[in-house]
Amino acid sequence: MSMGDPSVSVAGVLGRDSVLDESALIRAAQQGDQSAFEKLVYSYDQQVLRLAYNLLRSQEDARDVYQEAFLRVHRNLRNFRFDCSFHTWLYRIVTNLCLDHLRKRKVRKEEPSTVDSADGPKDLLASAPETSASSDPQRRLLSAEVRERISRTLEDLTPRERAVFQMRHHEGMRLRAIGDVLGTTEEAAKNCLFRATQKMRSALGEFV
Amino acid sequence: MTCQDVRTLLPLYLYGELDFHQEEEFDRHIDACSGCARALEAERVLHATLDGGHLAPPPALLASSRARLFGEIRASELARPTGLLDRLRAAFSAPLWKPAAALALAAVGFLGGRAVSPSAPAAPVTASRVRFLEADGRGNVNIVLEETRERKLSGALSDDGIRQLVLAASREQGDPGLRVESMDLLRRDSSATEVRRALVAALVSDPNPGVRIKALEGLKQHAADPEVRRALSQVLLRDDNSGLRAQAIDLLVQHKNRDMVDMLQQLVRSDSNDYVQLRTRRILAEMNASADAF
Repeated sequence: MSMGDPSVSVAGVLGRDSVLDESALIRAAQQGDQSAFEKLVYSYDQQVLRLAYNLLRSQEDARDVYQEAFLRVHRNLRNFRFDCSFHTWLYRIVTNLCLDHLRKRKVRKEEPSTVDSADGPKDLLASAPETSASSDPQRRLLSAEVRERISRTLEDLTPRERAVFQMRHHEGMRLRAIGDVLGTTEEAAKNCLFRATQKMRSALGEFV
Repeated sequence: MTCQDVRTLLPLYLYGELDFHQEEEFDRHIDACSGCARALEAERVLHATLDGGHLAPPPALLASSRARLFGEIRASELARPTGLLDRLRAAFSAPLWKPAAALALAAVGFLGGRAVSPSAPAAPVTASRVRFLEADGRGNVNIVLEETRERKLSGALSDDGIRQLVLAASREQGDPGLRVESMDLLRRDSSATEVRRALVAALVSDPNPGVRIKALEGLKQHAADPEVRRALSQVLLRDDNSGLRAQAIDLLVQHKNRDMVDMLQQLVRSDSNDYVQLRTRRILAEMNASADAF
């Protein structure tokens, strides 16, 4: 996986000093220091947007989740008591908002990953810019058909399966951290991942 | 570990989620079982294929999300009561407190009037401070009381007296709320030189970003003025508020000239904001100038 584990991007990889820096930043933001809050946003907002965009596959919805998540952080930061890591707290907010969006879509039976175009429905996944991992020549050969199949299979996953799959496969988070974010156990997150990969295997079996 | 166990654990193995003992057993089984080794390779291909399902958010999406977020936060901060006047206004506008506040004001007026003298002026005392006191030797105390009285004035901003008071309020260091309101008034009529100078001074030196934003809005119609352009350049290079820098560059490039190139190249090297970076690089390209300084 090309992307690092966001659950350790601040606290783990950069070491204890960074944890202290982040705590100091949070405490300053709690006291109303606006520039500390901005720094906190800048440390996490690319990950937040990437997660929301990949889960919801809609720029508009991803922007709404980004806005609402950080506004909630801004409003409630004073009540943050360091009972869990800031990352876990933030991701809990973000995934809850994304799950709400996905559940509403299930009810409305929307197909957000396809948009109408002059040539008929267009698959966002097939036309989206590839990530840096796709610079591998083998990946570039990935046919539009396979990408479309992945897109459709993602739509068929339950919101929780999709969230666990996205956080584990693309965000590189550990199952234990995913369990914390979703308010469940590592074992339950593991089962969700099992089901998601099984569905992916069934859908893509003929291509791989 | 059986073949069935191994097939079940394939995805967790690739995600590195097996514990040490399970991974040891898994590796031993794969070394000895060619069927499971082939299944592992197939799982690896699936795993790599799924990487292709990742979407990279467009850079403009991040920039616009940030601008929207900080815009909303700034707006809510500006709407929040900051100065004494705002706090009083907020207190008086709360329906439950209205009767109590009115009673309190009446009591202050009544007691104040009695304490000062029966012939005290009609304007109520809004604040007082004991500046001096002494015993007169006959059992009395002489007190010098410093009082602030409220006086209401009304007039157009074009009236010089009113404008001077608003300009004075725009420099009131202890009350950012008052400065924001002053800027909001001044920006509506920035044709007078002294008003423009006050807006420029606030833009480059006021510590409150809300005041600086109002000042910048007031200077929009003067984007060609050399003094305003110097101030915008300072904002771009020095202001720590990315929203302000983004607005400053939009304003500055309304009138492009070659003198800006050095400053823009410096900006490309130093600014961490995605929007400012993108915009600056695009402007340099439009001006046929390199993003790098040589």
